[in-house]
Amino acid sequence: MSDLLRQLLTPDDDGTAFTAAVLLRSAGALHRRRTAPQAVAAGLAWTWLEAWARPWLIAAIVGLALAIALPQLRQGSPAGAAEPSLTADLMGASTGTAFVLAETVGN
Amino acid sequence: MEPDAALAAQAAAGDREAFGALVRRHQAAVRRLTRAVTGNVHDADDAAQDAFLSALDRLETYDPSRPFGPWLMRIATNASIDLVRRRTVRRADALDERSPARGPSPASDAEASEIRQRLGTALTALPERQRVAVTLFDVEGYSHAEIAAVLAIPEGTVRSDVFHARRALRVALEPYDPGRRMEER
Repeated sequence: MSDLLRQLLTPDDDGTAFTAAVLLRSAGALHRRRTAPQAVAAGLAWTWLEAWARPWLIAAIVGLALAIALPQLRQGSPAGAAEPSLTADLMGASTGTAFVLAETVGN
Repeated sequence: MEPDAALAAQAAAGDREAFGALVRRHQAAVRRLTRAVTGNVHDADDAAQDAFLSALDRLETYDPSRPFGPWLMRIATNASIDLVRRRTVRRADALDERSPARGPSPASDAEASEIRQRLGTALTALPERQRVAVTLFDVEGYSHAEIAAVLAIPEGTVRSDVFHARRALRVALEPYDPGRRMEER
């Protein structure tokens, strides 16, 4: 009976076409398996880069935001309205002082 | 010949040749099992292909210290049962769809064809689990314990399934039993 059952169930072909069909259907999965280690390595590299760059990126964004916002805040406040002229006066004074000092030292 | 575990490891890394070698090595056994369950040549090959693709997807779950065959057969059993449940319409097809076997005479040709037909019908009439059990036991040579592991059922249940399946198949083949004929003569 075992032999009869085996004869009944055994495929007529040698399996070449079947194997080719399976390989065709599995081409995508096999390709993903081949490329998976590279993708993981690339993922790790990006993760490391992100981890390293994130503090710098956040610091740069905060710095940029402050650089844009601070002058506007100063201009917007009543006390700050006089500041540009005061700053200019101070700058002028300091420039003059520096010139006088330079002349004195040079002599 | 490279062991299954080594081929499975290479296939897991995407090696097409290694996976092809595994398919070539196991395709006949898997197709016999799926054919026993589906009772239909076309569905059997579809289920067998699904089984190999599913096995490729799950290669990480294969334990290389254990035999590859039973692990694959478990996947093939599930794939064929799933397919049968999806395609109940095509189950009406006869199991014996091949051309008649070549024999010494037209009379024996006809008898061989009739035997195959009766056996096919009897096999198709069995419950799915009994079909798998008797195929793995009688055709593939698996032990009761291995079949129990494949089907995730107790070994005693496998013994019972194989016993009932064989009895049903013997009943179907009784008219062609040579021993019985000799007794009748």
